[in-house]
Amino acid sequence: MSEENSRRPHHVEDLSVLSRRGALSAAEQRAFADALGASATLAAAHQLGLDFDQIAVVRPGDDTLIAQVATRSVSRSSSRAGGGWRLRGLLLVAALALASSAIAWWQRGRSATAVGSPTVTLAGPSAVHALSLPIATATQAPPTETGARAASSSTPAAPITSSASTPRTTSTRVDEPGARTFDSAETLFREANAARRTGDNAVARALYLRLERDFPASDEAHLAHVSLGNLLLTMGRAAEAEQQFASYLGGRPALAQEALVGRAQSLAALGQSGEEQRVWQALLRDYPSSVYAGRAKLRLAELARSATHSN
Amino acid sequence: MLRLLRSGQEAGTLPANRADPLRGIANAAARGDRAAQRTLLMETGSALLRTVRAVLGSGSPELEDVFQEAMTAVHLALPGFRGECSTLHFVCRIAVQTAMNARRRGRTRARYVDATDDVELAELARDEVSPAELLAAARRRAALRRLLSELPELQAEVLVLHTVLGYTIEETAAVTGAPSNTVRSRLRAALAALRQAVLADSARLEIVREDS
Repeated sequence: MSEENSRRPHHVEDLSVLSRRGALSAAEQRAFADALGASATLAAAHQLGLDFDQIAVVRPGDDTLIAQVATRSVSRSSSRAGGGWRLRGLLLVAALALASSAIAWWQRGRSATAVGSPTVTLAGPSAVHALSLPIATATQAPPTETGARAASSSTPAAPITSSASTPRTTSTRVDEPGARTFDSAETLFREANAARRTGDNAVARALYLRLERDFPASDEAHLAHVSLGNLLLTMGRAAEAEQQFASYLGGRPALAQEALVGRAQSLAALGQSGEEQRVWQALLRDYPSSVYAGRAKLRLAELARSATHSN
Repeated sequence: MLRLLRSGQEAGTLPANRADPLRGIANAAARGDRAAQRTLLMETGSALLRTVRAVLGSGSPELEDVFQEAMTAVHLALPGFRGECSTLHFVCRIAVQTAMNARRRGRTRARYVDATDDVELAELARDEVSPAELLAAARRRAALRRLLSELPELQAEVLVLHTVLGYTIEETAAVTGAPSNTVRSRLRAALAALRQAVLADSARLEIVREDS
């Protein structure tokens, strides 16, 4: 932002901000180091700032979400502002329909062959067109993932039907995932995650599986093994969950620890204590400083006690 | 919303030469130009979304609804914008207030949910950062978010603008319409409370680890 250009001599708190922006001079860097040493509160605040910078990243699907929500916001407010016009339009349509009916009734009275003539049938499509016009012109089609930026220009997209202007409260739900098309792994992953977060476990499961099937080489499909594994565990499908975690562990290891924990939990649910023990031991061997190490040791101790009792 | 409009009118003015690339679009949007309204929301959408995520957490089930609420609030507040700060800061402040209101609405529920955001943890997982570091950062973020529901509203707002979004004291003063010294005193009070909260959380974590 251009604000940096106009900055004046700084408050000490601002040294943290400027450090995060990479805008400290050498002298300011020294002053900032001194300030951090002198104030634990400033140091804690600076660390938190860095923590939040860590998550201030654009995620797959953000462009699509922004475009959809922006379109809805503009449509909603214009539909509020245009309420009077819409009401007048509806009244006009009703009047036209009444007039058309009256003409039709009059024509039927004059000649039986007039039924179904253009004069009579015209009222139907015209009414539909008049009714949908204010809504259609007030709404732009949500752009695709790749087209989101292009859609930010002032050129309106093709109008869509009136149903698209309805406030979208459940649009992240995918009731029939098999019937929809997804142009990218990112979109599919995002939809699956959204379904999982809203508790649509069956839909989320279907979408994750579809992601793995349709985009098997994508990073999202790889991560989906862990997401789906955890989902399946909560659904009580431990055997399928175990397969997902095992698939993930056969690939790249970014979430290897999480996958090992999930796999161990799946094996525990399946009663395969020997294999579970080996997975916990692998976790401790490969990641001795893992945040899950404590849990692994605890569980291994429990398994050892169980084995002693059974012997 | 009323407070936003009022503070916009009462705040001091920025230097006249401060560049604001979105100002022209904002003016057109405020006049009712629908193409400009949509363009403005598209251009500021990333910052808005980032702000809402920062306050609520990436895994919040309310994220999309609150994001929608924030965009609508921006739309409604635009006619009251007088250019006291940059358009982007004006827009982000609205997102901060919308998201904090949502947090306060869900305060009771938030006490009973997991302290860390698993979605953020999973999204940030990388080979070069240890899970322990990620978890510690997530817990610090969670401590700040919890605190937002406990602090007086004006302190919480300054805390988000300065510490989370990284605004300078002057920028925070411009966007809130408060004098710099007032912003500093609110920030000091909020940071003191924050440090206590983070320390308490760290101690709790140590206890849990020892127990396990």
